[in-house]
Amino acid sequence: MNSQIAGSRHAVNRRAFLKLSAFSLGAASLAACTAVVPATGDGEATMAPVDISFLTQGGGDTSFLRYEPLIETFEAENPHIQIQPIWEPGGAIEIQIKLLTLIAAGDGPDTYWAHSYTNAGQAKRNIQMDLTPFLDSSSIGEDTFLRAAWLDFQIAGKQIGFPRETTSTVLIYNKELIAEAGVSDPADGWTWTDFEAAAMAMTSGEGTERSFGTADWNLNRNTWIKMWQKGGDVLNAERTAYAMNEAVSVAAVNTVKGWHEAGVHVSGVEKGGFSTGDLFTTGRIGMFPQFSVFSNVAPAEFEWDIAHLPKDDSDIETTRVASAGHSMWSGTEHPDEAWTWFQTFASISAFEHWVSTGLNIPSLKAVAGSDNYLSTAVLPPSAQVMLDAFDYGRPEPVAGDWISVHREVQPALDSIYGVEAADTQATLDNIADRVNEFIAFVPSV
Amino acid sequence: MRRSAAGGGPVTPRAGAMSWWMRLRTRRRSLLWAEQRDAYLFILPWILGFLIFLAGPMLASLFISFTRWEIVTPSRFVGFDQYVKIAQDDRLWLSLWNTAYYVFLGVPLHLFLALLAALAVNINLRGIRLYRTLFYVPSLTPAVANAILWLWIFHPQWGLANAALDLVGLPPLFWLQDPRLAKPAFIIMSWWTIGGQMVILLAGLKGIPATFYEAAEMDGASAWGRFWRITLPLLTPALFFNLIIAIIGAFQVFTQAFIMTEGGPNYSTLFYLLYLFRMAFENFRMGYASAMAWALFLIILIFTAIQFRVSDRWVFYEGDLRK
Amino acid sequence: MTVTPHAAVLARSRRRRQIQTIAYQLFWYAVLSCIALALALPLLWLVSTSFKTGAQTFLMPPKWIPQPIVFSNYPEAFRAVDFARYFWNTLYVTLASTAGTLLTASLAAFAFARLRFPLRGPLFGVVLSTIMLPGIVTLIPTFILFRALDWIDTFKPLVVPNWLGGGAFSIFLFRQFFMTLPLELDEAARVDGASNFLIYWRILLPLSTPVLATVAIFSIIYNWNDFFTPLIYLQSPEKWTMAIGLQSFKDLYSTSWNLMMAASTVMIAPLLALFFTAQQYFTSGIQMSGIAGR
Repeated sequence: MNSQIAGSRHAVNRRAFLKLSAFSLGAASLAACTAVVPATGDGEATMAPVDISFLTQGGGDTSFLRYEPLIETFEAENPHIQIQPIWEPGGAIEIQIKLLTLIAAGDGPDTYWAHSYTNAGQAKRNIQMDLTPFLDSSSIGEDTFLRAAWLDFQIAGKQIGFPRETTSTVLIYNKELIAEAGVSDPADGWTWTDFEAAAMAMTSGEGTERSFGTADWNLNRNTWIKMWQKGGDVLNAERTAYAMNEAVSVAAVNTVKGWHEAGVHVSGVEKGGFSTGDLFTTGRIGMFPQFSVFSNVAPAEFEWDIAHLPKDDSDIETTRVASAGHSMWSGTEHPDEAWTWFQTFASISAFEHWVSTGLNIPSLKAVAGSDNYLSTAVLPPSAQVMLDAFDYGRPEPVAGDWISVHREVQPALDSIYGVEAADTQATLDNIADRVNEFIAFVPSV
Repeated sequence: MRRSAAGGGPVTPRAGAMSWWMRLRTRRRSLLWAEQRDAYLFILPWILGFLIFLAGPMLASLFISFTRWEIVTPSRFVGFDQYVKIAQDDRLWLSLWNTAYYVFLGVPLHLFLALLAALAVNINLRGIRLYRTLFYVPSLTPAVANAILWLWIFHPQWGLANAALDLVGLPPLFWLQDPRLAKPAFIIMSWWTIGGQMVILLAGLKGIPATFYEAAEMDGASAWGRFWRITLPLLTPALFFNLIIAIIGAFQVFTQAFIMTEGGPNYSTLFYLLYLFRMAFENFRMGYASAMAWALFLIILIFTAIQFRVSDRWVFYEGDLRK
Repeated sequence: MTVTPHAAVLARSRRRRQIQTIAYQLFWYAVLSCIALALALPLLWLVSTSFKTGAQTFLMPPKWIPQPIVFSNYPEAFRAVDFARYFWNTLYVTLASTAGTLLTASLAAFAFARLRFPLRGPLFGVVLSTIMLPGIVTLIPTFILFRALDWIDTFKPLVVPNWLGGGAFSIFLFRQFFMTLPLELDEAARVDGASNFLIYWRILLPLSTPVLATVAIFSIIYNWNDFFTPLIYLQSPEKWTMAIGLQSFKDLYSTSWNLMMAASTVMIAPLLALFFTAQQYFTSGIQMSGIAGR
C-alpha cells in the first residue's frame, strides 16, 4: 500500500485548529481589555500616605460591606493613612495559609482577621504584636470587651488582638417538645438529673422516625465543658501537660458515653454527616449545647429558646467561649499607624456597623448589651442568657499547636462514643504522648 | 477523497528551503546535529518554564526539608533529622498505608471502569453524544458540591447507597462512619470521576484506523478476537497514560477527605497529603512537611519508573523511535 | 421479477435481523441510561438545590424536586457576588492558558515523541517529576518568586507558565498520541526535504485533532474550576475568578448552599455546552486510509 493521507480533511482540521487558536487569542485579549481594571493612581503627591494592609475574611458583597465603610470613614479622618484590604474567602485555616505565605514573602499584613482556632499556634511563634504597650496609653482595656472574649485574645500574658464577634455555649431547646415531654422548663435552672430525665422523655421512635433527647456532646468542645464543670481539663493548670486521662475527666466522658449507650444522644452514625441544626429544625432533636450562632436553626417552625447549661450543685459554673477578631502583625513596619487603624476594631461605631450587617455576639460590652443588638430578629427570646454566660465562661486552655490537640482528642472521643465503644481510660491514655508533644513543641529560633 | 502525500499535498516545502535542506542531508552528522538542535528548540519553552517557575521552588523545598523552618521563624540546617523523624512517626505510616490502599485498590478498578465506559460510549447509537456528556458531568461539578451530595448518598438512614443495598436484601452499612468502610467508600466515590479517563480512552479508540478492523474481519476474527488483537493493543498508549497519571494523582488524594471526613473516622481517611497539609499549615512545620513531600516524591518516582520499565512489555506504540 | 417462496424467507429473516438490531439498541440504551442516571446524580442534585429555599436544602429525607421551586437564588447569587466580572476574568485566564498549553505542550511532546536527542529519557522523567511533588511545599517559594517578578495580583502567574510548557499532563498526553502515529509519515516527509518544524506543523498537528481537542477540554476545565491558584495570587476582588466567587457563599459559620449551587450551575453550563459540541473533534478519529508498508 502507498502512503496515503486524506489531505483535504487535514487541511480543514488544521484550519479549524488555527481558527480556534486565533479565536482564543482574540477572545482572550478582548476579555483582558474588559477585565483589567485601570489603575487609579492620581492625586496630589503632597505627603506620601502610609499604606496599612489588612488581611481579612471575605468574598461576597456582605463581607465587603463589613469593612469598606469603616475603611472609608477611617481614611477620611486619617488622610495620612491608606488601608489596603486583602480579601480572602474561606475560614480560619485559609486565612492562616495566606498570612503565613505573605509573611514568608516578607510582606506580612500589618493587621489581619484572626480566630481562636489559630491564635495559639501563631502566638507560640510571636506572629501577633503584643498590644499591652499600646493599651497602657489608651482607654481600651479589659472592661471594654466581654470578659471571656477578651481573655480569648490573651495568651501567655500577651494581648494578641481584639475579639470581634464571639460565642458562648448555651443550651438550645425545642419548647414544644419540652412541653410534650411534660418536664420542667430548662429556664428554671436544671441539674443534670433534670437534663437526663428530659432527654429520656424526648427520645422516642425507631429508625428514620427516631427523635433524640440531645446531641453534640460528643464534640470535643462540648465534652470539655462537661469536664470543666467537674473540675477536669484538657491540660493541667499550667498548660504544660495533658490531663484528660485523669479520673474527673474520664468520669465526665463516661457520662456522655452513657447518654450514647442509652440512645438518648444521637450518634454519628445516625447523623450521617449532617448537622445537628438540621435535625433540630426538623424536630428530631430536643436540645443541644449550641454556641451563639442561630442562622442554622432559623428555619425552625416551632418555638425555641436558650438556657444556661445544666449544673449540679457541686459543679463549677462554666461554659466555653470562642471568638473571631483581629490582630496586628509583630513585624509591621508602621506600628503606630497600624495601631491607629487597629483602634477602629474597639470602637462603638464599628461594632454598631457590624451589628447592622449581621454579627454573632458583638464582643464590645457597650454594644452587646444595647437594645440595638438585642432587638435583632434572629436572637432567641432569652438572648440575655448568652451574654450572661460571658461572666462565668472561659476559652479553651490553648497551648502549643492547639489545632493538633483538637485533631487528637476528637478521634479519641469518636471511638469512645462511636460504634467501637472503646474503653474510655485506655483511649484517653493512648493520645497522651502525642498531645504532650504538640503542647511542648518549641519553635525553632 | 484521498490524495497522495508523496506527490505534494500537505508537505511541499518551498523550493529554496528544499535545496538548502538537500545539501544538509548529504552529511549525516549534520542531520543528526540538526535533529538534536531542533529537539532542544522544540522543548525550549518547557525548559524555560521549568527553570523559571518550577526548578527554583522545587529546589527550595528540597533545601527546606533539610532544615527546621516554621515559615515565620529563621530556618536552621538539621541535615537528615526531618527524614529520621518522619520515619519514626506512626501517624505518618498510617497515612501512607491509607494512601497505598487507595492507590492500589482504587486506581486499577477506576481504570477498568473507565475502559468499560469508553467502550460503551463508543457504540454507534443515536444520541450517544448526550450519554458521553452525562458520563463526563461529575468531572465538571465543583468538588464542594460533590462532597455534600456524597454525604447524603452514604447517609446510613436516608442515603441512596443503603437504599440500593436494601433493594437486594442486604443490611445497611455505616459507610463514612465505619473505619473499615470509609476507604472503600472513597474508592466508590472516585468512580464518579471516570469521565476524564473515559474521554482519553475514547479519543484513543476513535484513533484506531477502521481498516485494521476490516482486515481482521476478512480474516474471520470474532468480535472478542478483534478486541484482544486490535483494540486493546492499540489502546495501550492511552491506558498507560491514564495509569501513570492516576497513580501520581491517587498518591496525592486530598480534597474529598479534607472537605468530607477530615481524616476520620479514627484516621481511616487520613491520607498522606492531608497529614502533610496539617503539618505545613496548621502546625507550621514546613521542614517536616517538605521532608514528607520529598519522601512521597521518591515513592511516586520509583513507582512511575517501574511502570515505564514494565511498559516496554505491554504498551505498543505505532511510532516508537526505538524500533 | 416474480415473487418466489425464497424471497418470502429472505424477508422474514430480514425482519428478524431488524428486530435483533432494535433489541440490541434497546439493550444498550437501557444500560447506558442506567449508568448515565447514576453518574448524573451530582448534576441533578446541584440543579435541584439551586431551586430550593435555604430551609429545604438539608431537608431529611432529601427531596429531588424542590417544593416550592424558587428561582430567586439565581438573581440573589448574582447580587451577592460580582459574577459578571468574574466570568470575564475566568474566560480570559482560561482561553489564554489553553492557547499556550496547546502550542507549547505539543511542541515539547513532538520532540519527546519523534526526535532523537541526548538526555531525551531523563528530561522526560523531569517533565513527569514536576507533578510528583505536592504543591503544598512549593507554594511559599513559588509565591516568593512571583512576588519578586512583581506578578502578584495580576493574571500572569495563572497564564504565563502555560505558555512555557503547558504542564506535564498535557505534554505526556500529546507524546502518547504522537507515538501512536507511524514514523513512516515523518520519514516520507523528510525524504521530501521537510524540516522538523514542518513535519510537526503540517503532518502531525493536522492528524492531531482528537488530542488537541482532548487537551483543550482538560485545560479549559482545569483553569475554569481552579480555585487555589487564583486564591493565592489574586488579591483584588475585581480580578477574581468564578471559582473564588463560589467560595464567597461560604461564610465562617454557615454556607448558603442554594446560592452556591445556583452559581455553580451557571458556572458549569458553558462547560457542558462546550463538551457536548466539541465532541466531534476529539472523537473524529484519524483519517488514515493506509500506511506505507502495512
